[in-house]
Amino acid sequence: MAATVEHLDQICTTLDKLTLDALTLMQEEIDLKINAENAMIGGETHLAKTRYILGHNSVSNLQLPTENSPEFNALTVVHTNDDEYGVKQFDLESHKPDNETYLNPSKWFGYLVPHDLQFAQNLYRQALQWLVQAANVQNRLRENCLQIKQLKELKQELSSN
Amino acid sequence: MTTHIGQIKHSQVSVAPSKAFLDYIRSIKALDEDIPLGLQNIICKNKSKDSPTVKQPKGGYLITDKEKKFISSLELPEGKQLWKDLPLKPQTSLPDDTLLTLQDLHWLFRHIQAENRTCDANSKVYLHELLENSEIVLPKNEEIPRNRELEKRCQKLKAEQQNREYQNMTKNVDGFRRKLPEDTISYQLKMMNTHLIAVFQFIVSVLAGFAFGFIGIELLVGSLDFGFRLMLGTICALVIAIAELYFLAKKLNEDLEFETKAKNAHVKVN
Repeated sequence: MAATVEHLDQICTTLDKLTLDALTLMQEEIDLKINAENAMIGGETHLAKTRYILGHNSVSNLQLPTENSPEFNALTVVHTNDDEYGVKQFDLESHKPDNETYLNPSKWFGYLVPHDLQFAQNLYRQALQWLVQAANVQNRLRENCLQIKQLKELKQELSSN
Repeated sequence: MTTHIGQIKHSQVSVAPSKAFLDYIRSIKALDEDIPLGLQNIICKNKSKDSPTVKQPKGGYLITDKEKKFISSLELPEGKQLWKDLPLKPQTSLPDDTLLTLQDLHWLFRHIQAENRTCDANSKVYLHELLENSEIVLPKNEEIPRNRELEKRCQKLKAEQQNREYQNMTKNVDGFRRKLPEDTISYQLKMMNTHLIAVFQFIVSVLAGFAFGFIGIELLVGSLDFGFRLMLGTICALVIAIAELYFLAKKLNEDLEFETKAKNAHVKVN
């Protein structure tokens, strides 16, 4: 009997921790998303400046590669892997553009682009990093909530016996 | 009046405590110095007026590898329908000072753990039980009301646009009204004039270029062969013609864009 009580106590303490962690994760996700939002806002502003400088026809989706364009390698790739507890985690693999295997996408808009386009590119890259982190946190949060639910059911079973 | 959504300013997740939780908090006896602000406001009568926007230290995670292993060692029931039976309560507005921040909750957790260690097994309190029926208050986006003057101006522009549309519609019903500028002869003439002037300018500058090559260079340098003079004049005229054509094309393109834009705007309003 004493073992069960101790077991229950441990479960409850874990539940406490899980609950607090859920809140911490929520806070973190919100912070990360705000960061991503700020980066996106900056990127959009700089992109708009570039369009103002170069004219809106020279920076538009007309310049983007189409299906008929030659193939190119993606600069950034997202990898998905499970950590040791089965939670999906994403990580980013970035490459430096070297004009051979990895092209710099700002070259699509001409060879002499204003600095604003490069700023925008950097900011969007940052936003991507933040978003991947936010997605990781979100996965952990989901796992956390699932565990809370499962532990609660277990606790109910144990305490009713 | 329409509002715009602004950014989140204070990104604090907080918890609005339920009644049982509030009662428990009020019953806390240990009045240390380091009680966080949110709890102080509930326990003490005299509310401290410190600014709540102080950057709070990060709590850190409590789940360590030990807990994770413990969880994975348990035989957990399948809980796939996780979001089905969550009770949804209507939001009740609470005064700000009863909200608990993460810091408060972490402090409470430590406090409860310390209490639990001293008392016997039956009277233990757990934070997650206290938190049941409490409400998580997520930070909200700020709402920026629309500028009143902008609103006024928009209304005025809209009225003008509608007026113009109406006149456009009724212009061949009522013969007396000819207010639209497109209908008058003077407007047409003016438009024609601008184009004619552009063409005239083009011709004049080309002719002047030719004259410079044909006569001017001879005046500068001395007597030249007739064929050479002709060639010089043609080259000058050609260069000027090309430059002039470039500017003409650019201007015409701008005019065209402006017109299509105006048309598109017209369609959008409709």
